[in-house]
Amino acid sequence: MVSRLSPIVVTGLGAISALGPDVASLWRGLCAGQRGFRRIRGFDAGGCRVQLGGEAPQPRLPDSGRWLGLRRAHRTAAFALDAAAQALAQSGLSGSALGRTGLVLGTTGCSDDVLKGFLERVRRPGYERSSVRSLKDYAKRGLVDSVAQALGVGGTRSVVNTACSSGLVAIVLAADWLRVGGCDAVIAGGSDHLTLHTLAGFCSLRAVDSEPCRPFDRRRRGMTLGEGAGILVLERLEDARARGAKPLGVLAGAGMTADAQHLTAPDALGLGAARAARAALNEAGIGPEQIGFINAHGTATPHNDRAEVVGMRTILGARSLVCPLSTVKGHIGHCLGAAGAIEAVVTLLSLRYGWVPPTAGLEEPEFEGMLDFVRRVPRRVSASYALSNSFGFGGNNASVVFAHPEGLGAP
Amino acid sequence: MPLEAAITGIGVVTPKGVGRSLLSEYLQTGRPVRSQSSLAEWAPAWDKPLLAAAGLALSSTRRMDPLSVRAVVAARLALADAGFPGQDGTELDPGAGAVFGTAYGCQTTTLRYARKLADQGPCFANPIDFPDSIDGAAAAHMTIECGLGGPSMTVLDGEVAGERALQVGALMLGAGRVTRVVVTAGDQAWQNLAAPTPGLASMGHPQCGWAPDQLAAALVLETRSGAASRGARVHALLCGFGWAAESHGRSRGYPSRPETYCRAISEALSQAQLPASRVGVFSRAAAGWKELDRVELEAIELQWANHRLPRLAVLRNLLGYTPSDGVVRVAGACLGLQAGWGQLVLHQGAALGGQCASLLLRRP
Repeated sequence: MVSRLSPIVVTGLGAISALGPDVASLWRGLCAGQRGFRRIRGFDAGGCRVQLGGEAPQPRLPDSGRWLGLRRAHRTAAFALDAAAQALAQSGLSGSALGRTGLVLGTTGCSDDVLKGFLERVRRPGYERSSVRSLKDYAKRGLVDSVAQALGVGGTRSVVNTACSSGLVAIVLAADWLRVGGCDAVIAGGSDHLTLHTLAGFCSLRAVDSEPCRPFDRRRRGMTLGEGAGILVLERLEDARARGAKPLGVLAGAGMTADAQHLTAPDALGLGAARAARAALNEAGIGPEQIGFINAHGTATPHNDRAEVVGMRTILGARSLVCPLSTVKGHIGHCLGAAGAIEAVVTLLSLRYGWVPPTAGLEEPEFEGMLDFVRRVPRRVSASYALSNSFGFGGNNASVVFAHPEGLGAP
Repeated sequence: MPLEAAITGIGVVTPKGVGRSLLSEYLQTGRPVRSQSSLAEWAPAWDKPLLAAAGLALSSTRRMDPLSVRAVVAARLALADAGFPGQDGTELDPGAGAVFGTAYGCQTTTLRYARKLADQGPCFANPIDFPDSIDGAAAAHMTIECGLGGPSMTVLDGEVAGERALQVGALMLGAGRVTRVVVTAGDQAWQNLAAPTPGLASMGHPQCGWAPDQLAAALVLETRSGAASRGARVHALLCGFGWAAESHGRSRGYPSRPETYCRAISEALSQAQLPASRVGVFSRAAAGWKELDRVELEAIELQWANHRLPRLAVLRNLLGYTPSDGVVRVAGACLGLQAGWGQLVLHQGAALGGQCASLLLRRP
């Protein structure tokens, strides 16, 4: 059985996004209502219907030899490494402790350069060989292998892909590993970088807006894509206390479901989303009345926003109009595999500091009177629990309940 | 904390046909179930008999990546074998989960999409191919075609993706998030990979007997009590998982030290609370690569230095080499347990990049 006895706590946070290179710049930007969108410069997006994106700054990697190989790897790994280094620094884990530290990352994409290289080798006329190097680059496991090598992490490692909920699902898997004792700590989160491959794909689906996105707004026409990474360091509470680490939050409960209806469109009634949220609440042992606020998925696509609103109303019931809800995708864009993890970081910061960031781009709510949207300015909250949602292609739904560390009591 | 799961259903898709009985027949008679000479012999994934065996219509699968098709077929067969024949997607089971393990994902669709993007420009990106190019597409199709409404996940851990998928499935059961979970793994073999390259020189060599292949398999996992309560037949019990890794980086090979394998093996035995002396058969990860095979043998000698060595099984000799073949090899080990492999089998997996996995299976 997976033990429920030991709470799983967060002891380190790291993030890189369109609002800046770290957690502090992310939080400042969210509270100031900044939007990190601009014309894409990382690749030639001229042929796409949309050229707007939330590009993150260059990851900061030391110049030491161990990391040099990663500079040649694609940006997804570099983002993950930068954010993981931030989280590890905050957690205080280092040296021999990393030998039993695991690593699980969520991601959705493949680097344009890697795919292009692999494609060239595969399609060359009369050429029947595929270089082992390009094949190894193509394999997504290279993401965690590279980051583990750079950080000196020796525990088990994994890459998960549940589309846009990958980052949050990776965090749930990490917690399960800790409960069965596979590792003493886990670096968990998500990372993705903006590519032509992805932008063109979402443009072909008419799922991106040529203007900055407007989540839950009646004028919304789709997402703005972003990039970056969000990382948490997770440990069992007794291990964190034994080494004097300060818990930043608690992973109290998780729920995951599948709509099992369509490859891209969500269940219009939000039933899968509601089931995931309910499962998370049940695992946390709380009711909807105890949720202090919700960090929504809120991509600004017509179908997803509607489904999420309906699903969350189903969960909240009478509290629909008094439980604040917001999304950060109007600030940093939809970071795909990194989205759920960055939003987990934001949820934990909101619990800690007592502020819920506003939903940038929401000026004319379509769902007025259905949920309590946080608009224009941050909202003061005093919450013991918060719910974070992430939904992805294929009907993947994930919800996690985070708790304020005050609830842990004295050591 | 012990992690345990009962295997109640087996579904296999091979070049020679589909189904648990077919695999059992080939393994018991020692005949290779892999492609004999070239991948051109491999039936197209959307071949009508293949789909008919799983009760699937061509219309529902023609846009799927071939890997997704094989995953769905394997999942349907496993569910039928487990006694859930009506799992055709018309009814949603919120207590049933899906896990898919793959090393390289939906390559056919990804490369077709990328090719069009490169040749014609982003305005011609295919909106049908794009969602099917995502690695998680196969798991999504499994949930849709089999009505699996619980958690769904895809793991991309290279050659231990199958073993990881089994662990994730067992974790879902242990956490109480599902009452049953379908775990599937598979990969697409490319003609280009079959040709000799410096790193793959030993593969496909007539003397070594292993060739790249593209099998897919699915197992249905339930809790022991859940299986017992509905009177299900249990093929085997997964009773221990062990993992170990070296920090090679993406350009290096398999785990280079036997101690790494020993750590994974010891962790699996410790989790199952069983001594090494009880292992009757060691199902090797050996794939015809000197680096992997030699170190694995050293690890076996080291781990069993004070005990009688277990019998060694090399299922890849008959199954060929599919990168994420952990699930099909575990299926083979289940059948081996039923055919006289003793009470306890240790299944070993190893991956480029330095990670290895050990799983323990025992007779119910």
